[in-house]
Amino acid sequence: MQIMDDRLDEVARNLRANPIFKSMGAVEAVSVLKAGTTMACGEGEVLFAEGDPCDGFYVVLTGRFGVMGVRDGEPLALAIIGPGECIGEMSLTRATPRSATVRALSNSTVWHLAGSVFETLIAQGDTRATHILQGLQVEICRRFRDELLVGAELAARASAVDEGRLLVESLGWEV
Amino acid sequence: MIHPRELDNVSCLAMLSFEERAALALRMIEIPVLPGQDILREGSPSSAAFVLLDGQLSVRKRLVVNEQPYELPGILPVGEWFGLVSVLDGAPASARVRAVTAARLGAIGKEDFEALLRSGDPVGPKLLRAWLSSIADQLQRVNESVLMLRLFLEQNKL
Repeated sequence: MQIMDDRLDEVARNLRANPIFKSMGAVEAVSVLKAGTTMACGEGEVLFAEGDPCDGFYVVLTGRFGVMGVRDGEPLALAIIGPGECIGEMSLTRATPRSATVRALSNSTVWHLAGSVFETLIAQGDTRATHILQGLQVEICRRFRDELLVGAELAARASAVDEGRLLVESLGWEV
Repeated sequence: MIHPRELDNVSCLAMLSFEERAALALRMIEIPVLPGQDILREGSPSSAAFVLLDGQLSVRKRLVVNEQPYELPGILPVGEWFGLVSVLDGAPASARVRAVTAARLGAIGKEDFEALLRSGDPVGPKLLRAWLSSIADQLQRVNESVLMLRLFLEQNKL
């Protein structure tokens, strides 16, 4: 379902903090929103399952989703994703299958940009594709630098014991 | 001068057609380097993204935690891009890249890349997507290391 034209500005304003939308001006954000659709998900509904082919990416408009895992044999939400946050953008970037199952934890709505639409925008050199990619660029570079620091910190702690030092070295890190 | 066929082996450019790789090759410059020469220095921002066309380069990422330096050493394979994160976010490079043997690089400057993105030529967003895919692959490998380290620390109560 398309976002009604009279709600586009409001949705764009609500997505100002979203990493993909925050570097866009209001006009660009509305233009990008028009390329996608909104979907409603009932509580408990699976948005996508681990191993599914990538069908695009999502931004939560209302409600909450859980990134599901299993602990002690029971399904468990390992991470909660709320309004304004993205789902599935890494799978879209890498063109790989979904790495986890995502389920609605409450009645929710999402904005969805289909992978096929994204590919078409890129192939046409559409400025909306550039805006989306530049938003992803900021987020992916930030995550990469942050995760390297987390890795170094954990490597430092693990190196306190011989077995840990061996593990650190086997992962390619060097003191 | 870089021949478009030399970009055939650049894995993340597989999504570009031959004509698009040819257009990209025209925007790139060829840089010969000598053994022992530094191409990137950690702590300095990169003004270009590079791809290794021939030869061997060493990479050393250096991170400091609680004043303790940690390093991620590696050898860069032919066809691999480097300097991407720094050229995209403008922050200093976290790695030193040095030529082990004589080598040939292809490079595209930050300003040329930004002009390509603004030009409306589909090669711009395709190249950015390819670069993001390459960074996301590296991020995935770091994520896996972090998971293993967390598990080890949890199991050993460290």
